[in-house]
Amino acid sequence: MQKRAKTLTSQQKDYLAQAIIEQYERDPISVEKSFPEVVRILQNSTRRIMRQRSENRSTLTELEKGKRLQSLCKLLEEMKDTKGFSREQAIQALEDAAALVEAFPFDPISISDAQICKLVKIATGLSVTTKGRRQTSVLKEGEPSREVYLLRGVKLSLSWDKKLMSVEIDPKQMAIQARALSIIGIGRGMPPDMAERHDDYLVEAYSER
Amino acid sequence: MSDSIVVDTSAFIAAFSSDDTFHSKASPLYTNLTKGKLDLYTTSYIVVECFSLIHRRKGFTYAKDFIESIQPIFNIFWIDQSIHWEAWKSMVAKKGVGLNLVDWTTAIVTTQLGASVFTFDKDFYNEGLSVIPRQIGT
Repeated sequence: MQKRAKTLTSQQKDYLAQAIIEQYERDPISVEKSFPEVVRILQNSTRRIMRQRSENRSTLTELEKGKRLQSLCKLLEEMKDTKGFSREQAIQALEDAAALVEAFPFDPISISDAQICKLVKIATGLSVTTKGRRQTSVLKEGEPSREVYLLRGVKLSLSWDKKLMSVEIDPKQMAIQARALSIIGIGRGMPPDMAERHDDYLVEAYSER
Repeated sequence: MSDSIVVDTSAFIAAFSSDDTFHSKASPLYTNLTKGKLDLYTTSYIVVECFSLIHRRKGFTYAKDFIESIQPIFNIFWIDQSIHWEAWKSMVAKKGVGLNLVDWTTAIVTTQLGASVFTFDKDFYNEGLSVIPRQIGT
């Protein structure tokens, strides 16, 4: 009697796929030995998913993003006239900046470090500095639902509806950032294609020793 | 959702060198990344590459300054035997076309972390990784 290949149910297929994935997570090398094609598919799909996830990470719609940006730009323009600029406006600007940074952490937002420091000063009275102790200013009591760094060492705690609850200044972290930024652009006189062709320049570097 | 970035040799060099073609793109991105919004990673192999390039071109003091500036804010992912050989296998499977061995270790670490890679090397995008700046892949 001829044997017929058993057709798996979708539940059995899911179970089988899950078992292979779990085994792959435990011991990728042995799974790859037995099922190289499966491992290749797993690796490719993982990378695709990672790319999709990070490209779709926004927590603001385009409309919300536009509103936040418009509000922030308007407030920063108004801040130029320091006398008429209120604490409430500074808080609103910090909330707008935090919402944008949280939703689009890869994109530089249209606010300078100096403007952030000025807004923090107006909103909380705290001076953003690389010296001294860590300081916190509490604007609203309660448990924050999210934390956003506008600068390294400037942490904003926000409520679930993105309202500013407190600001923490950590001078030590600010000094670390200043140190990190100190290397930007200091390599003058290096070849203009070094980033792109660094492999070739490495060969040159090693062969000259 | 990924909050991690792996910084590649090309990005470090582009940020460091004011004369580099990619400096104007790298500089604001690097500044933005150091603000503490994301978890920053690089690998031990990338550190060695950057140190060697800067040491050779600018001397030991610059190379030392570079390493000391990244140490406090970057998590250094130490490439171990398993990642090294996984990278080797990936490179052999592609017959050496595209990413080199160091790049493959970066790709594997990036995937393991669920991160994006900050690079000016299009081959990372071609391998399906999430890259910044985004334009590099297009």
